[in-house]
Amino acid sequence: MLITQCSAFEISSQIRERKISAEKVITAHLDRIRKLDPTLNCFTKVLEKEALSEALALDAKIAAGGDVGELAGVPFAVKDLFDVAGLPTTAGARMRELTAPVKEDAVCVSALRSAGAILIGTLNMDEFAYGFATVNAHFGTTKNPHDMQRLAGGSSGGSAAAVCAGLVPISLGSDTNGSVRVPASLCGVYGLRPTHGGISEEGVYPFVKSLDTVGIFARSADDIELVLEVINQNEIDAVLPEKIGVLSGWFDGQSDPELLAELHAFAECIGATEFVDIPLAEAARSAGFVETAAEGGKLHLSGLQSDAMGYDPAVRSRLIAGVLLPDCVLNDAKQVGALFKQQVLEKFSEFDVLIALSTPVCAPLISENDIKIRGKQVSARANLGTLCQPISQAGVPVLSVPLKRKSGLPIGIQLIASIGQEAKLLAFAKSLEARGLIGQPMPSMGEMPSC
Amino acid sequence: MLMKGSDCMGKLTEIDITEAMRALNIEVNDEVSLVVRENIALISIHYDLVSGVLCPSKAECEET
Repeated sequence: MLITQCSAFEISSQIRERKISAEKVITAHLDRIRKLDPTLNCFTKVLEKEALSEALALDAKIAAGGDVGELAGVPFAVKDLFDVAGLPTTAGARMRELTAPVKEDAVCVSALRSAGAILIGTLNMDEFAYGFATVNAHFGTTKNPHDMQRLAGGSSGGSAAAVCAGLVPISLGSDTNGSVRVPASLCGVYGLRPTHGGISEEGVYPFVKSLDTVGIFARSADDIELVLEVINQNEIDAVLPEKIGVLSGWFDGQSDPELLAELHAFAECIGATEFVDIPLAEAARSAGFVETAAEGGKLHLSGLQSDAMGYDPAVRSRLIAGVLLPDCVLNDAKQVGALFKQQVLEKFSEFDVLIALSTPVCAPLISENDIKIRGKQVSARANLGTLCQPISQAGVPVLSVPLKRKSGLPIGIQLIASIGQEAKLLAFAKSLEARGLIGQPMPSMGEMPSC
Repeated sequence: MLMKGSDCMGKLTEIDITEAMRALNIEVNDEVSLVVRENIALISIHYDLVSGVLCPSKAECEET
């Protein structure tokens, strides 16, 4: 198998067994980035020299019989809002490029490096993570590897597209309202939003602190598990869920009918026959919308005061609107979010896992600003996360997995469990992979180069 | 039992965008002000759904 198609697990095993060198692995991925990224636009910065130097040091350590970690030699990249020592953290904003380089890595970046993973670059995003498209006025639009005319989704679009295209086997992103799940769905990769607060946010540029969650992208459930174990430094025990429910009601009305039919066919396959309505889903989605504007806006007050016109136009007006909101608006939104969370957690006394589509539609064309949901034209940038946004309010873990389809663009399914139940989601995803029901579709972007 | 909302829709619809931005020292051109106004309008639609869930007075909350 080509190196750039290998999983993180396969790469680290082969390096530790001295079947391949870390230098060869890093070189293969850098070659692929050089070849494809000028078109895809996943990376905001490629750390070529640093990555090669770390690879050589790792090879020397292995040759000397030294201990190397579980992710030895595995290339990874991070959304450009994670602190990386020696670089400014741009959070996708041109105005932050001239800020002082940070002195330390974010906690989760440091954890991956300590396990032997090699940071290969930083990745594109919507400015300040405010969007579901990765259309960035300063750093450009990230393309979907399955169709370069289409959106990769966002705001962690660079993270999802880079994994999809084989530029890295694993990456980190962040999910406030769906920013991991949306691009994972549109690019056909796995994207985990863990339990809120489950991964340290230290060294991660904030957007809406009460909802922000570090997320993981990979091409298999095994690799998601491996990264989560490394970051949290604990082993995950397999626990298969027994009772699965299908989110319906408001969720049905927000989904493309053909995709909804595919979700129902999938549900039938896995014996999920019960439909679950959460009455406050629509209000929770609106609460997320309001909370994001208000809390996000307040975070940017000083930036808007000093240089409002320096912001991405698509982000600026939403942040200003948010900062003008009276406090009572945010307080009410938080109350509704808390009520919805209570309703969701009650469902988990009956069900182990709930499922729903990750996005209402497949990847839309970049040239079209709107998407059509059940005949209604709505902004793509604001609405691709409609089905994810309410779930964020519950703070529960969600794994977006790529549904195996007969044809067409990728679409993800959200596997949702109760707080702290990531193990259940991962065991479930592995069982679905084993049955051939989910798995990464290969992008139709040309041949995978030999390494 | 439902929680009491603050029913601040009035405050939201009465925001004078130009004045509010001036008070906060945020300087933008007219074109941006217009888009901010559109965004406040969109937020109001969402807030309407939010406030509809919460009961407007403590007494009503207790009845619920």
